[in-house]
Amino acid sequence: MNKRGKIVSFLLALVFVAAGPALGAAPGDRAPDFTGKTLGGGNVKLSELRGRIVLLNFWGTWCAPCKEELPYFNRLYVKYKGVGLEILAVNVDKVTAQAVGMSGALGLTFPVVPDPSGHLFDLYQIRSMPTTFVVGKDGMIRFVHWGFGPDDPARYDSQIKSLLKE
Amino acid sequence: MTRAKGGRACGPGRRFGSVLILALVSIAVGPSWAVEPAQDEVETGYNYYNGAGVTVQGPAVIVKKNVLDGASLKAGYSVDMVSSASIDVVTQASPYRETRQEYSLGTDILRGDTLIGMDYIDSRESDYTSDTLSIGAAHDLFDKNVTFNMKVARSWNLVGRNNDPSFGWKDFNRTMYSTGITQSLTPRWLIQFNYELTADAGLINNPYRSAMTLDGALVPENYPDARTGQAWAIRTSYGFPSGSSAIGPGGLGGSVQMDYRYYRDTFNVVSNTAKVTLQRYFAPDWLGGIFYQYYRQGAASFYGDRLPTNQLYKARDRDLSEYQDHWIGLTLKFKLKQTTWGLISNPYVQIDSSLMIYHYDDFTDPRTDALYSQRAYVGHTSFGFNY
Amino acid sequence: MRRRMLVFVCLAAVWAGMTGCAPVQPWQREYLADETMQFDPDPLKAEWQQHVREVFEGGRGGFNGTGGGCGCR
Repeated sequence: MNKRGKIVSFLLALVFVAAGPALGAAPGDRAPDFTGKTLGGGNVKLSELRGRIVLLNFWGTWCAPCKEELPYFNRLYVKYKGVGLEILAVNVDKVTAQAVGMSGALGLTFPVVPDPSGHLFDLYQIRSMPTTFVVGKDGMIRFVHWGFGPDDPARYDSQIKSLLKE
Repeated sequence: MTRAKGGRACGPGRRFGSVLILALVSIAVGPSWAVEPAQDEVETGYNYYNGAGVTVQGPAVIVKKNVLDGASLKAGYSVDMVSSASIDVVTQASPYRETRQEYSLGTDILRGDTLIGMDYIDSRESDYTSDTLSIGAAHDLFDKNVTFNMKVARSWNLVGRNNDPSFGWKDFNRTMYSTGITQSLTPRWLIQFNYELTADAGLINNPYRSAMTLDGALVPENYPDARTGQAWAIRTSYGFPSGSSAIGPGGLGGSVQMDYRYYRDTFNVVSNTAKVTLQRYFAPDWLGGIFYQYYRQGAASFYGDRLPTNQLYKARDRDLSEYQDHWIGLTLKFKLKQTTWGLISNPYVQIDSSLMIYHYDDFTDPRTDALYSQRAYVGHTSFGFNY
Repeated sequence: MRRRMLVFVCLAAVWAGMTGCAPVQPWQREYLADETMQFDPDPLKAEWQQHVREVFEGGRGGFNGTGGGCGCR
């Protein structure tokens, strides 16, 4: 390959390498604290949920996998709420009424925190939709799920069970 | 390139048939529009065209389903019922009716940030058969801000002539290479660049159409047996927030899209297309749209309304002539978002209605010797849902 | 040929610079996920309109891109 060919190849390689995914908040980090209002009208502060396992989910009504994931979280919440699981679903819709509508249509029983400005999404450096952080009783991020696929229900189940034993 | 039926044919009827393949190759085959899982859906529609003495109509259906993690299948079927009495048909032969059927199958496979698609289309009518295979891939970069795509398609076609067994079946093959890049510039602004190369070989002209000599006699058309064309296009889509309380402040109110395409080929055809589309939500479930497209084309080097007898290549297909056209249309769509009726969700109904107006600079109606122009009404209606 | 390579290198460098920043975060794709922001969201309608164009025009191709969308997995 001549010199020009090498320069071009290098530039293209640079573009593709730089284009790789950035991961955002990761297992091993402390989950950044925040306070927010829920759709139900109450307040929630993440650090006050120490001692419980928290599934911190980031979603939008325009995201199809998010809509599949939420009913599953509903079933998970019913199953483990009594033994120390909390679920917070942070929603990014600019029109909160759409989140209210979907939340009602899906019959969600866990708190939904509207975040139309995306402040919490920025805080957690969200890189794909949906993203769910599994936060342990000590407030540390233990697992992260990007997207929602057929493997995820089994993984959530085993992760929650292992964290409950701590 | 059009495979129109000249003499006995003419027009659009047959053209509709064979050229549909090209259209499908451009749109329906290959990766779907974005590198993400598609939802299961069914779409049924009815197409209608009426103008310039030709009527084409028929139903179409497409079904998509996710089958495995990351893989989806789609299948489609459509019928064109043609009734043609176009200018070429009435001045060179007699009106005809015909039906074309088409089947398509495709698969999309999603792995991480890459989507690979393969499609097969089969089209049949009494004097034209077509088989098209395409493979394409799309890849996302930079947190999905950039999508790069490439596609290759090959079409194997056989051209016949009704009521003329001695004509036999002639080959006409097409290969298409296309590539493009899409970039999100802001959360409400997308831009896209596309390049496409189309290479044809074989019997390119319509076996029914005749050219006309300077003294008005009909002679057979004769085209080169190869044609290569290139298209460069840029498209942009800009969303604006809603000002109405029906949608909610900050929600998407609609969009403005602008397209431009430059085309040229080895027949010396050069064309420019410019299109603008405006869409607006009147309520969360009601979407209206309007578009306008302007198209201007220069003639192929061997095209002529009347041609010298000793010219080797001759074409009198008005598709290869110098002309301009205006196309304006309206759309209305009603979609129940976030609604589920048993197995069906997000049902919608849509109606599209448009008018095309053509002015030819070098094609005359032989009956009047006046420059020809034509109008056509193009309609489409569809009903679809997720399941 | 050399000039063409130079032009390509410059364009690639400009493009790398431009796309080196990712201006839109995945959670900001609400507008981009909407059908009005996509280029050919309706396959049957797009196919029919493209077909009508191909029948009456001498030009071919050019509108076959992918991209945009909701950015979901």
